Amino acid sequence: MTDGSTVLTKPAAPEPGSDGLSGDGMTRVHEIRRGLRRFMKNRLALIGLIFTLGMVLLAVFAPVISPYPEDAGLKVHFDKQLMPPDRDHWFGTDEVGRDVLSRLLFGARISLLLCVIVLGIAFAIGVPLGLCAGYFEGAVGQVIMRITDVVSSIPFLVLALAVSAALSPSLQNSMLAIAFIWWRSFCRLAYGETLSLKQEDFVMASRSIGASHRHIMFREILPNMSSTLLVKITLDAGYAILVGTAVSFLGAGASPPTPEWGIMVASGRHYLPDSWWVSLFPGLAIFFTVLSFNLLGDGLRDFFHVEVE
Amino acid sequence: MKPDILEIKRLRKYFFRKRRIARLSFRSKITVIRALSECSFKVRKGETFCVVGESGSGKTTLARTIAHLYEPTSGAIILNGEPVSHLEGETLKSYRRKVQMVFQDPSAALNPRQTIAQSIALPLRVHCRLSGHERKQRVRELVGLVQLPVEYMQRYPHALSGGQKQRVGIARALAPEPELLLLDEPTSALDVSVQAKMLELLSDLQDRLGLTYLLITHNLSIVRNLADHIAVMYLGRIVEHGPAEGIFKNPLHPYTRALLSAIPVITEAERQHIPEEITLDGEIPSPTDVQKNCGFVTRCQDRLPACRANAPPELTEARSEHWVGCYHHGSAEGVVV
Amino acid sequence: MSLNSQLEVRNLSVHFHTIDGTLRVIQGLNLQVSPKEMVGIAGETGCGKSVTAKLVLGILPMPPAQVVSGSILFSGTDLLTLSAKDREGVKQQIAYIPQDPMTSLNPTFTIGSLLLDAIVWRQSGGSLIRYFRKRHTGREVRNAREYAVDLLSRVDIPAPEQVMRRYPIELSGGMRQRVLMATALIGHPKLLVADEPTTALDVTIQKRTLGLLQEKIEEEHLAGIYITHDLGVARNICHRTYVMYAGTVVESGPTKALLDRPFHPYTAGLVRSIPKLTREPYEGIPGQVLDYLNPPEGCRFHPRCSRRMAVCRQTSAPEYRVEKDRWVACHLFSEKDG
Repeated sequence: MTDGSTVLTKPAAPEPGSDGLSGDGMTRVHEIRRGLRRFMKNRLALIGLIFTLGMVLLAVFAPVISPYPEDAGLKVHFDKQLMPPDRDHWFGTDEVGRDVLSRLLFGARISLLLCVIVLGIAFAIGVPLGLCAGYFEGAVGQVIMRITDVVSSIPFLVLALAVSAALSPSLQNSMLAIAFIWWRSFCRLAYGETLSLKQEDFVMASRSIGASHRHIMFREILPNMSSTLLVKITLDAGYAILVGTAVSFLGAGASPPTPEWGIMVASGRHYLPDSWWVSLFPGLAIFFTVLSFNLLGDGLRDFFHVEVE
Repeated sequence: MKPDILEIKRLRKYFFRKRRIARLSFRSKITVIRALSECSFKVRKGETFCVVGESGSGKTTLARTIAHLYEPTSGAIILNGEPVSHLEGETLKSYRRKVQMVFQDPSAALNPRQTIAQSIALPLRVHCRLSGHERKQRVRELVGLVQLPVEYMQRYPHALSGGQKQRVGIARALAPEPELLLLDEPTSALDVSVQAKMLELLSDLQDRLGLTYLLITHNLSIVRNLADHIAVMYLGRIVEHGPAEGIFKNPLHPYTRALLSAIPVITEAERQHIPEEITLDGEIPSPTDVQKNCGFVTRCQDRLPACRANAPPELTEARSEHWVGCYHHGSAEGVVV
Repeated sequence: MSLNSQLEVRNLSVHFHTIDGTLRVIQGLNLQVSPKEMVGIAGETGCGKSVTAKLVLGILPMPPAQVVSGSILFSGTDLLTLSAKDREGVKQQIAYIPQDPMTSLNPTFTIGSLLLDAIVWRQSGGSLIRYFRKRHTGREVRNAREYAVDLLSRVDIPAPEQVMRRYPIELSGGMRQRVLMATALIGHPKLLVADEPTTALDVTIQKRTLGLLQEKIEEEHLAGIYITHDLGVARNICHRTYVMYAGTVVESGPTKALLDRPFHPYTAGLVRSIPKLTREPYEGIPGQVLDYLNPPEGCRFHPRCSRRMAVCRQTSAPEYRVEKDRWVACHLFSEKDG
């Protein structure tokens, strides 16, 4: 971004004893407002944010806003099978007469929950490992990074299929399995960031002050990679949802009657192209959700990157 | 005569890097970067000792080694008569309390995610047993000591100007009540009008708190105004050191003379105080090469055959307290001419 | 204003549009450079000297920046009124030496490659097709290579043929800066803009580089602009200097006279701030650089000036001619205007 602010210095806060020139420098509120203004300039990021927030709200309030909440469970209506979208069922009904829209809303809950669990576990394992590997380097660093390399060679979907073959197919099992290898990219990211942050003067200053390793790792280094990690989490969220739905689509994850987007697309396949709505709407839901997270993530990356300069 | 607070004896710091021999080869060799070779000098309590040199001279490495950010490869560091070259644990911690460092780039030296108060409080947390309230009080005192308004305590570094950030760096360094302050180019990143106030603050603090300064800089005008003693470094060695007056009035080493003559003076009156025009030709040898002879020989305008043929010259006391390492001034034992 | 000028800037005012508002970065700037003359633009961070240089070079991004008034006359033509195509053509006659030699050379190309590309491009007059053709013609490349070696030797680089084969990382800072100087001399430019080229260099290397630069200005009949924050360097190499503060020129004149006897309170304050080898007392300038969003009414320096008068709060001072070739923008000199 080549706006003029990279050419000039920012207006600075006044020194004591000055004639009260330019006001009181930047207060917190002023800063936040300025940051928001900058974020809003990125149209796509704004769209991403709105969609993401919208999706979260829909998921949270699903039981309240869905027109036929019982259709998300075991209820079936054989009298209403495969009805096209109309006034009562905005997205039509599926092969056992359930309202597609309601099932979509509940499916959002499942996808989001899954996303939170997978990323939460991956973050909790990967970041501390990467931090230690980067900070201590040497033997510790090598061991951690080589294990990471091994884990990196495992493809998500193949693992999920293997887990479902070994145990019974269930969404929980497969996603837990995926969570336990998802940490690898967090580890590598934290490792790289730690290596470069270690060289910064303020880290050296902390060392010369005599701060403990723990302080330096968690109070000096880790907070300074928070923006990078936030961008990664946002982008990964979309990908995690995609992987989850793919696993279910392949039959290795959720099983009916769970209103999960992946199996909705899978079961609707058989009725294409006549009853297109059964597969299409869940597919669109996946598409828009992943797109929103991606746009938001890109927007955040631009936002933080400019500030870093 | 004030006691010596710091003594450096034949200090060496080498960095070892593994490098591949050729671009696609698996074999590697170890290259040695001789950042510091055989540095020796003494610093008296309460004085300002300036180390000058250009890039590659080793002056920053010297400061960092004294600060124990690097382990010395060989040689001794002696603080108040106690050897402190290799320390760990509690002894290292108590050393860090006595010797603090102020860094060159004020923007990089502060954690952008911590408030000013948090940055300044860190040494207090590490070294002092204070309650939260006492700590806050002490931070407030320090902020006042460096002439910053108290409101700045809750601000983040990016809201401050360069000069203000540097003051925070100084306040942080003073927090554990150190005896020796290592200042690595404290004003190089600041504008000229701010620089003067910073130097004034440093002088003032030195008088008030009885501090000893080891000041690393390449700015000789600052050195002329602040230094009691000066050491001139070139390629990892001290080539000359002595009282400030002596170095400026009677620079002995050819490099010192060239350095002084290159100072970009502002006024005509200053021109009287530097030697006449010496423009150095030739190229600087790489720090990875072993110095078989005087490192300055590639550019020295007064070189003798002896300079190329013999080992790097040792420091000899040419005048009272004024040491120089040059074949023009002693260092003649076993010299091939 | 002499008729002999290579470059003349008249009453230039520039605004920057940012998220927070409009920054009034340059205000009523006047300057002039003649061939064989090196003119300094001296000032502290944020005074607008780099913006001015970029504007002359034509590399200031114009959407956030906007020229509100004024003209930049190069060989008599106003650069600001030229079409984009013509502006590109003029760029060939203005050379640029950037600040940091460490980061200004592409590390993935050899010096020879960099020079050849620049030389052949210059000879292709802006046409990509012509450039590619020439670049792969044996005879053209050979001629260009000879020219490159000649340029390198003219900037005192030893063994130029070998240096051509080296990568920037293998050269010292001083050598890299000389390579940049050689690049700037390609095609016999008329104007040289040097943006603090020796700031990153050691003092002894700086001396040599400045000497070289002076030689080239003489030899090639160049008009030179030297941007710096180091008044000592300005004294060394600039015949005349413009002192800038907050986007305006506060004082100008022959460098030595300006530094030995400064007129404007800011110049005097600046000179006084610098510790001297004579060990005379030094003190800074109180206050802070101004806020470009809300510059003060009247003289931009008056809030920090110890000699301000009532009129200074109201109007900014025009440039008064105090001596034969010394101009000061300060109300204190309104009577002395002659």
